[in-house]
Amino acid sequence: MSQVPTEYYLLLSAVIFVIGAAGVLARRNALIIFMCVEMMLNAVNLSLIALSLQFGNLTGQIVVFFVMAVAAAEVAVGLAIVMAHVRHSDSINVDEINLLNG
Amino acid sequence: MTLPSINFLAVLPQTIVIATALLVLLVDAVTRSAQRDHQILPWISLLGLVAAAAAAIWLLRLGQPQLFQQMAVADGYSLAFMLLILAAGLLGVLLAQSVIPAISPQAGAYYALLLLGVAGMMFMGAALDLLVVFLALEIMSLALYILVGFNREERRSAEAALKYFLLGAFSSGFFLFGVALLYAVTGSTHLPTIAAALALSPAGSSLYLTAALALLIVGFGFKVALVPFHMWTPDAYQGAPTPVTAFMSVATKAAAFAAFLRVFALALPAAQPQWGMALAVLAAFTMTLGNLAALRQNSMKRMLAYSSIAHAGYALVGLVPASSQGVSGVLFYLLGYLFMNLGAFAVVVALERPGENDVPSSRFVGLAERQPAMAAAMAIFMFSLAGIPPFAGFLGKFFVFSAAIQAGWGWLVVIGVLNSVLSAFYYLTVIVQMYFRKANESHTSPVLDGKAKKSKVAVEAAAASVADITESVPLPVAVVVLLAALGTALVGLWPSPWTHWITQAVSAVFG
Repeated sequence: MSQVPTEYYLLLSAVIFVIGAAGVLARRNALIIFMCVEMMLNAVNLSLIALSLQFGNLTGQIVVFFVMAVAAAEVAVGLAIVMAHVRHSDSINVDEINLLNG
Repeated sequence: MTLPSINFLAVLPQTIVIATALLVLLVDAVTRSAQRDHQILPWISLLGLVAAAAAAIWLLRLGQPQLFQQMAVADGYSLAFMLLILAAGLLGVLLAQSVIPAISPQAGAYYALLLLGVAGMMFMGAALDLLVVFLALEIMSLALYILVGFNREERRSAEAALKYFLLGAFSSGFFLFGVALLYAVTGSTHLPTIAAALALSPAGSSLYLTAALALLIVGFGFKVALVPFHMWTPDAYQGAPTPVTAFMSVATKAAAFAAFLRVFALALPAAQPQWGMALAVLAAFTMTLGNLAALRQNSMKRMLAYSSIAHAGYALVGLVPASSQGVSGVLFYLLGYLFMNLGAFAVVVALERPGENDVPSSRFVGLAERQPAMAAAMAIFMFSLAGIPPFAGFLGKFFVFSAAIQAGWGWLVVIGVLNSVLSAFYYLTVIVQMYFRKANESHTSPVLDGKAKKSKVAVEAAAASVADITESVPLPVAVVVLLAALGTALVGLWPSPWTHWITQAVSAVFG
């Protein structure tokens, strides 16, 4: 059985990563931006697993476990911050976050 | 099968800090109903930080680097950064003591988060593996996102936290992809192994390596606030409660630079021809744009935020040549920056009126008459930030720039020196306002008609200045200002023990 070359995985992972990054820059809803960030992290996970298979060591897979844990922690903190903001403004559109002029 | 023997000694200072954070949470939960006054918590936090610093000094005295499973290390370099971050944490706790209970009933969470953030920062300098760098970065960032949004009554605070969080999470995605690509090139995330692999095959022209370097620079660039990635800085610094701003402006920068230096100068020196020029250009833009933006600010916190961006640029100059001299220069720079920048923010805390979260720069007018000691301290911080001898800021710039000149980066140093001149303009404006303007000048309005109104204005001004005199600065804040001013002067006037210690610590690691 022939294997899929690692380069293909990396290319797919890069494409998903770029879609996520473009989503962060283009979308205006804070929650969707957040989902795009999660997509970027999972794109990286894909390439880490593929590389782990190629090198025959476990480093990549261990990193993936930690990334998943970190992503979960980020969700907990991030949603709390979004909620704290919604209590003040009733909106999660990042274009309306303009009290601080930056 | 036996369990591997783990050298827990190597992470003793971090363990103490984390244990203290948990203790603070526990004590907070137990005493909550009994007493609303949580003044015991800052003392527990201070004790924990001092104990961690004592442990770090003890490890330093051992002389031998202590390895934690090839993942983290307690060597001179990481211990130096640990002590720096612990000092920032100490001053941050002291500064918060009088402010945080007023804005939130959950002061216990504040100290616990600050301590957890400090623990993450300590691991940034100690990390010997990209996985640990990533985890430490996240531990630090998650604590800081919450601290920035700690004032829940204030909309600006929530807004700052949301911006900081979204951009911070975005940047850690870039950093992680950089880690994955570096793993693709070398087959490892262990920094010395990466260095060895890259030194063996110096054909570093591979696309993967270039992309990995670019992504890592973006990731670190967000954390230390380099210019195209600095957008969050002024907003987060202005919206966060001022004690948080004071702490994070120095501690985050030190921690992010600790990892930045170790990854680039220790693991990737073989690729320096590729990243040296990129970082030099970033440093030039960071210094220039940071200073130009700082010139136009009316809010003191925003001005200091842009100035901290410019300072990230100066410090980055020391990383460009990837020499041990440059690394010690950055470490010395960050030591001076710790005292002068934290001190400047502490003065802002001292001048804030109840319910305020910022100080307009007009409040400094005539400060020398109303609060001479505070004005003198602020003058020291401003002179030092501007890089005027004999204070710490001057020597920091001197070491960083001389390391860059020796490696042949003359044009970058020229830009840096020109920027220092530019920055002197807005720093010295503060001093001019404090010492050479009278307080009542600012109260003069153009629509004065007749003596009656004039005298009324004068009375108002007099009342305002009386209010300022009686407006007492809380003791912990005064202590922080004093310590920071002493530190700024001491590091500048008596630098030899510090430089000796730093050079020794860095050359043992970077050769």
